[in-house]
Amino acid sequence: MKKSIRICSALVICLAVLYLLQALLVPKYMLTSQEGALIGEYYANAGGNDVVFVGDCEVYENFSPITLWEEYGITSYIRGSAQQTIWQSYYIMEETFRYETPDVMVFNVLSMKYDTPASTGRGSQREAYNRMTLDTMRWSSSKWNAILASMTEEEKEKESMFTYLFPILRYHDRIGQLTKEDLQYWLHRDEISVNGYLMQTGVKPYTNPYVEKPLVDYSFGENSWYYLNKMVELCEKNGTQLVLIKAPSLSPVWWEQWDDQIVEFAAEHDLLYINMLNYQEEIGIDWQTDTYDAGLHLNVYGAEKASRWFGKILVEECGISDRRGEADVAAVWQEKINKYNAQKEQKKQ
Amino acid sequence: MKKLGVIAVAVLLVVLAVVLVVVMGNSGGDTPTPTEPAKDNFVFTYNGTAIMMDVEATDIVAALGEPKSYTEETSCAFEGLDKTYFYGSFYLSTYPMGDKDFVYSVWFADDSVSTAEGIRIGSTKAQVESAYGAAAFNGSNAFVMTKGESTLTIILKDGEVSEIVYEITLD
Amino acid sequence: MQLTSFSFLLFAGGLLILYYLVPRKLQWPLLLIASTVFYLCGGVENVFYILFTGAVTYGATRIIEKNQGKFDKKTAKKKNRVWVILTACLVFGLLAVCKVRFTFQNILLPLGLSFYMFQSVGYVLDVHRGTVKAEKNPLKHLLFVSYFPQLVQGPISKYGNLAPQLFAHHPYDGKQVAFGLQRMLWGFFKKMVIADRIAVAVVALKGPQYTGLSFFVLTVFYAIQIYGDFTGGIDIVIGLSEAFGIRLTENFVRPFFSKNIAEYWRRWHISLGEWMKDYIFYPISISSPMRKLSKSARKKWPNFGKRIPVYAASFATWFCTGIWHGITPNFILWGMMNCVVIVASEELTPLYEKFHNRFHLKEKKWYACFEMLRMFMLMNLIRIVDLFPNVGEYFRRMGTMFTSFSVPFMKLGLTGLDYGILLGGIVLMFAVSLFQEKKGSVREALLKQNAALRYTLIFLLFLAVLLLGSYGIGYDAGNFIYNQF
Repeated sequence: MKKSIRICSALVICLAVLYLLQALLVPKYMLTSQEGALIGEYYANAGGNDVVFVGDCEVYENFSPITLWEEYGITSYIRGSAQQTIWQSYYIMEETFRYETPDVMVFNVLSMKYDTPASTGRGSQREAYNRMTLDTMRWSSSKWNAILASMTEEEKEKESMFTYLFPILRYHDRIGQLTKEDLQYWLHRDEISVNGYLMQTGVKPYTNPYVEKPLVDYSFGENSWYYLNKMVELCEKNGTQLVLIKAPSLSPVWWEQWDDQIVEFAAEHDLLYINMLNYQEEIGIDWQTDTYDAGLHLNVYGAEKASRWFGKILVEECGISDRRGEADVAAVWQEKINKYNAQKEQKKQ
Repeated sequence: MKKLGVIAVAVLLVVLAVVLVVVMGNSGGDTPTPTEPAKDNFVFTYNGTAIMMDVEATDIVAALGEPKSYTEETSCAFEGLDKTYFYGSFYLSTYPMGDKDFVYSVWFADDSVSTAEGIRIGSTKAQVESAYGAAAFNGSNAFVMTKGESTLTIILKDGEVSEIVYEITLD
Repeated sequence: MQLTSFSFLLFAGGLLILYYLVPRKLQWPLLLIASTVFYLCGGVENVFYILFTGAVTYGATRIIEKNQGKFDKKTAKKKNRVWVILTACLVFGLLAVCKVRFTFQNILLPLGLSFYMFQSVGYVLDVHRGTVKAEKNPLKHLLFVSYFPQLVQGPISKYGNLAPQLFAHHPYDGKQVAFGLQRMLWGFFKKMVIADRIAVAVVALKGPQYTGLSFFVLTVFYAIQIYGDFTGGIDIVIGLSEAFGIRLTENFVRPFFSKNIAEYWRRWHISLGEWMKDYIFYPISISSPMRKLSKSARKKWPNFGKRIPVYAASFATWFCTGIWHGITPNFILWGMMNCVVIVASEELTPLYEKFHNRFHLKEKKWYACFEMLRMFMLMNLIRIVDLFPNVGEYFRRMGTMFTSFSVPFMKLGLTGLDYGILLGGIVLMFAVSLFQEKKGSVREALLKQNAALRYTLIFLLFLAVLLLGSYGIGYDAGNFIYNQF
């Protein structure tokens, strides 16, 4: 009896040490590469969102849920992450339905251009992007499947599934590269987004038009179509309207041939598809003031304009109702507004 | 018993000797020490400046002089910029790796430049075929050639070359 | 499955639990199944080679034993010789083909090929010599050939030692399992923290620009790498087997403490040396042509002639050992260099004796250290030829050794922290070896300490492997060096 107590307490101590080490070693994404923290911030805000955005940086930089609330009383959350691929978007949608059933799911179609994990980038960046999207997801079959779909060849070869299960196995070599950030955020995180929106207040005007090398074949890949179709099915099953958008970012280039395919797909499936690049004037984007990186992403001023314009569509086309009258909801959102304004002030400096 | 040992070893030695002879014969003596594999990718040459895919771009960009226009893109969440230079007749794009930029792709903007084999925008399909062989045709609209870790794509429209693109092959 | 992969750990762990849960008479069939699974994981084609080897050696031993019963001793020997030679030709012929294809067509060697082939041919010879009885059960025979822990990098076991343990019943013994796991952990430390880390610098130092003292550093680094890699791997293998209650033969006994080359080869890769001694050196040196040769030579040179058969046999043995490692010229040169050093030290023995009788250095401690250091450096210089398929390049580098004295340590891909970890790890390895050499088993000594201290030390070792091990994304030095032979 005494022996078993001793063994148990030894085991508990060992596990506690391992847990603390793991917490110390994983990247924090608080002061650097903040995009890596976005996916994990959803869980504290899950439930009660009328609209959920899913996609890459073109959603979490270009739309502001606060504006949607202030202007239209729409509650929304952005489940975006850096270089989020369509298979990741699908599983994030699937996961979202475990927590809530929004009226509208908005998906940004840019990631249709990536058909396989190999085509999403060069070298170690792919794996790093996978980590930033997947590491902070909570465990569920959705996460498991998202990992399986996302792993690069190198990750498969190195049996990375184990390292997703126990991140210490992936980040063990950070022991020699720990920074103040790691100590400061050892056991807690701050919320760095406002409902998934990562605010940027800088201004870098757009100058030269973006060009990209032409392609032999502009048809989207089979895998991309597979997941887009699955998204349609998933939303149908949950009684949620799927809205496809192409956010108003000037780069990467959104080829006309790509647009045509999405237009056709949307018509076939009776989906709303809005290419916001076609409405730049109507939205009122001024590429001299509304972007923080010369046209790739909008800054907060541009994002507010885009949200004001897009909110109208959500109200008119999707029939999202105004919830500003619900006192408890309004109270929660007032807090978010305060945080948003404080961030804006702070980041401006 | 002892005899057996000798026979066994003799047979073994003969087998091994044969192997050895095969080895020596095949290798022609010493094989050179493998060194850092030099890149063997496509090269586009412009005014005497050789631009090989996936090599460091600093010297190349310096040699090419002032571009007509230039754009850069940040990648989400990572330091470093994808850069695109326009030189009037062709575009050059680079990607960052560590603190250096490497050549990512080159594509032609007009018919004043040509590939090493003399193919330019406006060349006919027959000309491309004689330069690169019919086997490189993808069956619909392009000739796709690979060399090392790079790809050369020649896209046709209405029987004529409309685009020529050199780029790194993504695995 | 790599020995240092997550899936191998999972596989071994699951098997270990199952092994002590099933009825004891099912323990060996379970090991056979596990070995098969292990092989299948490496690719279906691997199974072909092992089945071929198993079938050929099984058939041969059955026939040999039958002949031994049927005929008188002399006739049986004569008849069986043919079968032994045929078996050796078939098995080693296949090995030769695979090695040639590996060297010239870059086709991967089937997993552990040369290890199990040597082991099973040795067994055929043992049956022929009458030292062991042939195994009648083909499945048991197959387990002897394919027992998975030792498959990837040895040791090459003898039937007489391994088989009885494989088929015995093994009740759970906590101490034995704990000791086995501790040894595995130590193996992981040597392989992952030290060998895989220093491997980066070894690869860099191979570059043609590194001449002068850098070449000397390369020989030392490579010695550390291969020691950590090979002995670490063997510790994992022997440790796992120990946890199953099966004691494999030791393959290393602190070889870097050797004072001369003969001793070194009794302490480094012991099972291969024993194999070569038993099945090549010994039969040749006492064969009748050799004896005749020796007789006639003795007439001319009474002293030297006596040693001719031994030298001839040494030559053959080292040629074979060289070829076993690889069929490129550098490995043959490696074998020959070993042979030359052995013969030279043998021939110089009288001279040494004179020297020592005069100066009485042998009893001095510092002289023993000097001898060890001398041996270490000499073996390093010989061993490094592994890395130079172009033998000319090897000599060129060696020639430059004392021409320049700067070593660009910080440009080899290792950071200051890496060097710190290496230094700590090497000191620990050295301390453990010293303890073993002077006092015996470290694990037994630990067992005498109080439990809290013991578990803390083991947990710290585990943390060292977990945190400081070179594994995962970003690390490429995964393969054990001895997998490729």
